[in-house]
Amino acid sequence: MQPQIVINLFLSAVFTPLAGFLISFFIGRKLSKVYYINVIFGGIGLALSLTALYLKLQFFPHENWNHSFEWLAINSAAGSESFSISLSYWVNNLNVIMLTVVNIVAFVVLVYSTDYMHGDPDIHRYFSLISFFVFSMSGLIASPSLMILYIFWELVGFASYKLIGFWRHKDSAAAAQMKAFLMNRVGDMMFFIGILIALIHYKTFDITKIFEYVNQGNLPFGADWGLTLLGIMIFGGAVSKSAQFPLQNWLPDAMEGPTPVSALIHAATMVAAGVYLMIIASPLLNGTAAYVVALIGGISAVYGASVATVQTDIKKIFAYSTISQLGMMFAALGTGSVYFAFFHLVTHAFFKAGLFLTSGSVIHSTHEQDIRKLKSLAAFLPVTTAVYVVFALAICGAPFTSGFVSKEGVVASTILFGLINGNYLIAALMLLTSLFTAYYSVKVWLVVFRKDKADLPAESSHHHEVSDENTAAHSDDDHGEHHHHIHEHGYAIKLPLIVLAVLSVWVLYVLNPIGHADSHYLFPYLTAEKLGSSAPADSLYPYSLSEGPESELKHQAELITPFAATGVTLLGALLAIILFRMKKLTPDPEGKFTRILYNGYYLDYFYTDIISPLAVKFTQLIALFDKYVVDGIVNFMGTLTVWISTAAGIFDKYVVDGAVNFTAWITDKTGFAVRKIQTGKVQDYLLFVVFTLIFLIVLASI
Amino acid sequence: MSITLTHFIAVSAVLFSLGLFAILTRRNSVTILMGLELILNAANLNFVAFARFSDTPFRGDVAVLIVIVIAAAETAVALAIFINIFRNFGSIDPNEIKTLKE
Amino acid sequence: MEYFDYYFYFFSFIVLASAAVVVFSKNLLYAAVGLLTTLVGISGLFFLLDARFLAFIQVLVYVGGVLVFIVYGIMLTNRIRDLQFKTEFHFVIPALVLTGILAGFIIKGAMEFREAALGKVLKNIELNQIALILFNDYLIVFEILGLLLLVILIAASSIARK
Repeated sequence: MQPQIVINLFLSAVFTPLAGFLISFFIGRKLSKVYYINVIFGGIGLALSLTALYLKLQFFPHENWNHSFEWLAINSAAGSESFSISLSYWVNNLNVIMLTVVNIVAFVVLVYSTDYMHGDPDIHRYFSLISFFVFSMSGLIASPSLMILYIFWELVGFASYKLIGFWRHKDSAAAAQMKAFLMNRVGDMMFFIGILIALIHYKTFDITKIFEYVNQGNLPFGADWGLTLLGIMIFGGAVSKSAQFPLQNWLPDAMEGPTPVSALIHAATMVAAGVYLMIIASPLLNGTAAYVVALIGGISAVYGASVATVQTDIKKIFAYSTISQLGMMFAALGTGSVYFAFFHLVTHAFFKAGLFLTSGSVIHSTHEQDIRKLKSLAAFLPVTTAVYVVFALAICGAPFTSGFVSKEGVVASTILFGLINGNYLIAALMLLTSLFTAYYSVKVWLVVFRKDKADLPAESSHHHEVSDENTAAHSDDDHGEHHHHIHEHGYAIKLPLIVLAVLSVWVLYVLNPIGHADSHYLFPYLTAEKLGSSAPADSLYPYSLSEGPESELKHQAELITPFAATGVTLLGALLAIILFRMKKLTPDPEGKFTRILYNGYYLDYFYTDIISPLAVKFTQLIALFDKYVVDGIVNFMGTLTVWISTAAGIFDKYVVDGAVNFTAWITDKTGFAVRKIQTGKVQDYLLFVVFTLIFLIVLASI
Repeated sequence: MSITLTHFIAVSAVLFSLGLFAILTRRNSVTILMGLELILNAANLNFVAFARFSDTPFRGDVAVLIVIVIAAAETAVALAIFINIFRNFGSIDPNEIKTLKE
Repeated sequence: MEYFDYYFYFFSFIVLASAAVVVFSKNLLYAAVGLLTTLVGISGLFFLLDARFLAFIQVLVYVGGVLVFIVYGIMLTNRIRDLQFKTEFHFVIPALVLTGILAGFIIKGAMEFREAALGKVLKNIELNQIALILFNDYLIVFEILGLLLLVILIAASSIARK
């Protein structure tokens, strides 16, 4: 088995979506069913990446391949060292797994979209953008060079931007698109500053080389705060991309895009790119930066989960849930458990994509997103309901689901962090998140899916109507009455859901559902070979649940976790059931207390009503400065200039003009004398040429 | 006294001068073209003569071949132009063709 | 004096005398005939210098091609029905002086080569030696010349066409 085979498979998997994109982009308009090409290429990419994954883990479990080609060599001034920009890719266990996850979700979403987007006039644009996104995401995964990574980072952002605003005739979609774009600028600028810090100090973009320098004690600006700054700047990129506090507001609005897009980009892969970035950059995090990561993650987790409890739009519930789950990943990462952050990323990708596709199925069947208007769907959508139960259990972290295994790790690592440092803040935030998560998951089940005999019209068993509100809401629909007969859609909708549900079962990740971290299948591959040597002394690894040596505290943490986590989950579920019994599960979102949560703690208003006016005030202040100080100087300079010019004008008129006129007079006379030479006859000119030649020969021979 | 390189160069110099004289003085473009041919032949003679008196005797021959080809090409174009000028001006005296001046 | 010298003076005389006819003849057709003998004389000089191939090419291309072409040019550009082949001179005195001085300079420069003997002249130059140089060192030049001829062919016909 040659390593080259694995590398070639990997790179083919990276570039296959590009081929799909180019084909459907260029000939998509001409052929009606061309989007099946994207699905086929997605399948090929999936097959390639699965093969690469199998061969890599089977034959080369302990190898990292890192290839780079010099692209542009820049030699600065003499004496200083030169540096070169290289194109590079790397293949290791982490990114092969990541690529496979992306390809699985992408393929599932592509299949799903063939039904979901059926009949859309712009369907080829949709599919080519999805392919483009998958290619960009693969490129992001494939490169260890921060610059290349940044390029693909922006490309996934661009694909997300285009897809949020896919239905461009909707004003809200255009606004959401612009919001996502602007909020991402803030984080991307921080990320870019981080890259520049690395570039200035280390003269390289290659992250593995940066790890080596850091490991040798060569820190940016020669101080520990330099490393902290670098870590936080890179984390800034992850904050905006993964919609973490305080740059999270764009993600709920991004739900304006088609639901499969939300599943692929805004739940499973692109927003997880921030987590992926922090995972590969984790050797750069020192204690301070890691704590910042954990804290931001914890705050975002509670923020997202708590806001999700009162949302009425089913997609927004899951969007806020995504924010909170990503926050949990960052919390695990910041407390040192890089492995659990990644593991939760993988499991979350499947069950959250599944949740979005479930909501897509609901929306597709009922044309309704508001949970207050949805009822008893279990009676009409049995498959959708069944898979929703699996996904909901997974996101709550119920035993025998993938979510339990990964979430237990996340909570355990934060508890371990507390046990070591005595700082239980993040652990508390995690448990609070678990409570809210269980609450909203159960709430959606109770409100939307649970079969309620009282709601069902007695006379019909197969011609169901959801509710009167629905009928009213859709009476102006193009398709008239047909839509009120809710039924499951075809296999293109059902199969992806089932596949994702299967992928949310614990057996695929660990045999014993409450086992030790070491029993996870992926564990030995991800911890065996680190991507880079870790940061010096102050590193986050000593606190790590997954990486550090065995200790008593670890056992303690792993013992506490299942009880604590399952306990708060049950508590949350119980709360939901009690409120449901009291008929207070779907309170008015404009209520006194719920209003705060419903509006996301008014963070949007914080930006529009406080930050924006402040910025405007600040610019007005600058304008005043401009008006009086700068303009004053300019006006004074103007007056001065007028005086000087008047003086210069007098000089000009008599001295300079006189000289110019004299020159003109001379030229005129000379030209008049010489112009007789210009006869226009070829032979006259030739005579001059010969004369000049002889003159030159005489000159030369003297 | 045997023939030396100087003799050949002298012949070609006189030939060159005659060609130049024709170019400078004649008032018919075709004659001017003939003068040009004389100059080119003078150069050719120089090429061959110098080549024969040097260590690389064949390079000159190649140069002459190239010059002959270019001379033929130039003649073709020149005559085509003359025919056109004759059509437009009714004359091929270069001194009458001075519209550039006006 | 050897035969070589006789031949040299003979051909030189032919060349210069007929070149003088070309230059000074007022009749264009005489000038053309003068050019013919000049070119033949040059060909003889080439023969003297053992450049037999060039002598052959000189007769073939110049005498056979270029000269016929020039005669055609005379026929087409002068009003043949009026038989006005005569042409005039101008600038005779300054041109004579200048060209005389130029020739003097060249011959003065050529005096440096008085010592160069003809002993180095190679006998029996083979055509294939020229060919070897032409198709090895000057192959690209050769190709460009071919291209040039093609361009000239098109250019000349398109210019001459009405």
